[in-house]
Amino acid sequence: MIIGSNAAENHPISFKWVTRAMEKGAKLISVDPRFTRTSSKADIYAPIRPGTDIAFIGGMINYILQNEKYNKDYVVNYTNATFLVNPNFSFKLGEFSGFDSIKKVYADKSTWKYQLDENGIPKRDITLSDPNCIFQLIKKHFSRYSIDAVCKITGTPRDIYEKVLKCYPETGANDKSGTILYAMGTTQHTYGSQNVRSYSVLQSLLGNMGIAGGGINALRGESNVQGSTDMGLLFHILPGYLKSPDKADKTVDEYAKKYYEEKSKDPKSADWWNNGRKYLVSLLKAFYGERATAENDFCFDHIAKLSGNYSHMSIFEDMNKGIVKGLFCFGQNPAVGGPNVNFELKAMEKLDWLVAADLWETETMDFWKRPGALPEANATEVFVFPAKASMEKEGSITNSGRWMQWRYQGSDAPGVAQTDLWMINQLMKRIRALYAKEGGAFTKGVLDLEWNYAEEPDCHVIAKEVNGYDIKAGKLLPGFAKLAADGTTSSGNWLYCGSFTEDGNMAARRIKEDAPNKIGLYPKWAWCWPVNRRIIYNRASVDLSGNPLAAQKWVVKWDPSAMDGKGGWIGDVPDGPWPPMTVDPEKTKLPFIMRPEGVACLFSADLADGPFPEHYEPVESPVANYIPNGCQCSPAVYLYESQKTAFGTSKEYPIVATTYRLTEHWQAGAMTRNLSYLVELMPEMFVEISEELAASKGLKQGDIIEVSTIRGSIKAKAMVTKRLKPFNINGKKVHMIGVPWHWGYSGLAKGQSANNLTPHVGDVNTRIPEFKAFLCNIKKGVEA
Amino acid sequence: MKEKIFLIDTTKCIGCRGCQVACKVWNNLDPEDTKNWGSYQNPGNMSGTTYTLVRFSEVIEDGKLRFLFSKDQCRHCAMPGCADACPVEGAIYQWKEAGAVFVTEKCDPSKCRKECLAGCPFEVMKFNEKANRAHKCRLCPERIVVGAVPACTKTCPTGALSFGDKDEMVKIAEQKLAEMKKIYPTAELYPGTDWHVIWLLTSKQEHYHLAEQNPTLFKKKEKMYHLAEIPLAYAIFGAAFLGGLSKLKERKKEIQSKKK
Repeated sequence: MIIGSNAAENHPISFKWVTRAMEKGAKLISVDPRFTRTSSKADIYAPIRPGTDIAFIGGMINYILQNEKYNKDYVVNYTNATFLVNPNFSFKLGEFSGFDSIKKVYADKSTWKYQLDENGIPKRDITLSDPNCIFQLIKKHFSRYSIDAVCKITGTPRDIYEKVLKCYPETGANDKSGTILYAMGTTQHTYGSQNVRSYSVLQSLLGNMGIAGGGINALRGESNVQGSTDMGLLFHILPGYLKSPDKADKTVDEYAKKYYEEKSKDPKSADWWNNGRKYLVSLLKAFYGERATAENDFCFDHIAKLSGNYSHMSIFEDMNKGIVKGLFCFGQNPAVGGPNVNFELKAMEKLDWLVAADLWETETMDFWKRPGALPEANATEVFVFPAKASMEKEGSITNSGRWMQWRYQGSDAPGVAQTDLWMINQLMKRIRALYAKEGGAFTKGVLDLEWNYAEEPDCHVIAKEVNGYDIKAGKLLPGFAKLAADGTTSSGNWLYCGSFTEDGNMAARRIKEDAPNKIGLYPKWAWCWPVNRRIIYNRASVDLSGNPLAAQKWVVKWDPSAMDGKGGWIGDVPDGPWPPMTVDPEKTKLPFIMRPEGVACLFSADLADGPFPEHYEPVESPVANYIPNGCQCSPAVYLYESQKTAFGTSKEYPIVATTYRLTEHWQAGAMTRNLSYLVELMPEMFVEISEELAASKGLKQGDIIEVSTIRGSIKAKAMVTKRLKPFNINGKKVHMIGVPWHWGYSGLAKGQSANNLTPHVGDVNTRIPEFKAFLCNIKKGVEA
Repeated sequence: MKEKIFLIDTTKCIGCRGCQVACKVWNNLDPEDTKNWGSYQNPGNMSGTTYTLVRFSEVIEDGKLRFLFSKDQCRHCAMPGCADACPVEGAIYQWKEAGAVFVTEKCDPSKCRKECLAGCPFEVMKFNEKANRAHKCRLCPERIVVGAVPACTKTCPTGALSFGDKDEMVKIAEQKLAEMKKIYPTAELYPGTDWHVIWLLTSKQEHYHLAEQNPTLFKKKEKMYHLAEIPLAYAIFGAAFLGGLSKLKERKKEIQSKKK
């Protein structure tokens, strides 16, 4: 099932594998507001109004629960369906218990907790009948998502939705697999994280996690987004998904106890994050080297502590307030890619300086001379760093399957273009030299850094540092099991420990030899985190005795004769060495080792907007929320001060708009709108519109269409197509237009930016902007 | 070498147009100054600088929307109308084993009235003003001669394009057609057997906007060449391409040894 993704267009290489699976008999379901190139290949195309994924999936969950289509053994053994929740947990008027209606946050999550027995272990009811057990709670929660309600919300024709209900739940059988591909169509909503949660609930009910051909697969927005996220590029995480410390966390000890230690008292839970202290200390040793000692708490006070939200929109909000005075953009083009870009451009005008590194001159570098701007009135100093493209440098790329693949330099870069590594190295070297001479704010933090790279830094040195060392022996570590909390080891990213060992660069391996289970794992091709495990949570693919649930495509199995008769796992690298439940009930561990409860979560207290996914409408929606929960939008949505009046209503803006990418261009277009062959394929900004809506507005193929929202307006070519159709939403006809967002005012192919239209509001958990569903109006325009 | 043909399997085509770009890059063809004309298809047609393109169409069949894509290109006819029409000896070659028909450097518009353009029943043959000669898909003979596939085929991510032995390709196409007929009753193979390109279509050929065959332009006249007779220039190109490949390998080794 491809939902929230247009894999054929935006990840064409991934479609090689979809095509192969279909040749072997796989069925493809495409759920999309538009009939795309992906939909054209699907067995079932289900149209869906933008922003209604949770209703669509919620209806599937309800159908599966009501008709007992779930994989019962899997649900009982490997999910938290049997766990009992605090009896005071409730869901009323669209709010889960614990909501602070003044602060608009779930301030008190105590009622979302498990009931514990006298040993502190979660209480369970394996009959699934206790009214407080998660199975009963989820059944009740989704009972409101009837086929009728779902189709009224999503606009999916009932007969098509019924086909989906008939098809997908069949993957709940042990010998069948179902996989979900998703992308930004899922995440770019005010409840984007909950959209993803709904997929993981669905997949867990069907036993589709940890198996061959299962999972929920994020098709990332850029080829190395996985790698950059792993390395802690986002503000709320350090490398290896360690939590960014809060300003209240004063010491390593406080930090480790607060986030990682003793989160489970269940002897069957491996609770792998219990090792968090070792990973943090090893990271600090990689950052600060000899200067990080037990006496100075490994320089913990040097690393940045959170005192707020530093996501994209928050940065621009602070820029607008004059708090953020300088901005570095590496391969980022917010002047095209940012939400409500008119607002963001005005915020950028308040910057003292801007540094932008890219392959070509981008709209961000040119923002001061953009159409309508007064260059002489703008005091921002702009520095441009010409950058090398990925093919012009050596290094690693980590794909969506967590494979770290080493790449050699393919060609030389033009002119003085440099790698990001070179730029950061030079910048830091020069800053440190200045600090050494003159001092400045945070001097010790800057000078304590371990920064001994050569003038021309070698990426192998960095890769080794990321892997980590046994410091005393001066040897590269073979894996993260060797990491220690006492300062004797270093590792720039614990998840990558094992990627570059004394045996060499594992990511550079290219051995075409499959694993014994012959399911295409190719364990000696590149390297996969963690510990070269190709399918995570793979011990969920076996029964309690270690026998594969699907014999013909087994991932791991327990072999009693392995390890000289002591027994061991064969196949993929297992999620831990522990024996199966029936083999050794004392030593066994539950399969979902990164969760304190050891099982997959149908109910999760970790999210900021509720333990179950719930359908809410986008902040700008054409209809009232049909699910009778009393809330139009997610009650926990954060509204930025500058944006309080930046939302339109369906009265003035009755048409739904959604933004997306095309095969032919890349992101904000900096890399592709300057390539003449790609410009030839997709030369001009356009807007897709249904035949019916076009006729009602007097628009013909190739006419100029003017699209406006409360935030701005754009002109583009009209592309009138059969692939868009109005939705029937509870009897009301709702029109939608599609707006690709690649164009801007610089480069070889210019056009107006879709983000002049989009709202500056985002997901409750991640603050990813709601690019995928907002309101607009359209009219026939004249050439600008 | 066994006789080769080109198979375009539209059941696997995702309309990504990697083939279109690969063709331009390999053949060093100029980009066209296009405009959005209401379709993803661009340029709108083949030209002196566009040897191949993916055609897009939206049709309703049995009340269901179909979004169809297919690569369009020279058919490399067994009895090429362009070659028949061309009055200049050796200007249009047919390499029998590869099934490739291509324009050579002997093409000289001062010696003809561009009869080849009208001679092609599918309006594939075009004139390139800059090069001052007729242009169309060459089937990358310099690649084929060294055992590589054409540039478009190499690029195709899903395997919609394949180039191989005629018997095998025809067999694959026929088997797949039988399967496709069950889902799409109007699926068909296009064309018959006298081209070196077979399309496996999931709908009627006209729905893909592929040109109708105009049989009146066909004349029967054997005019084929064998491997030994293909113009020297392509053999040299091929050798250079192979040389380039081995150079790449050497460079990779060099980089690796440096790192050690």
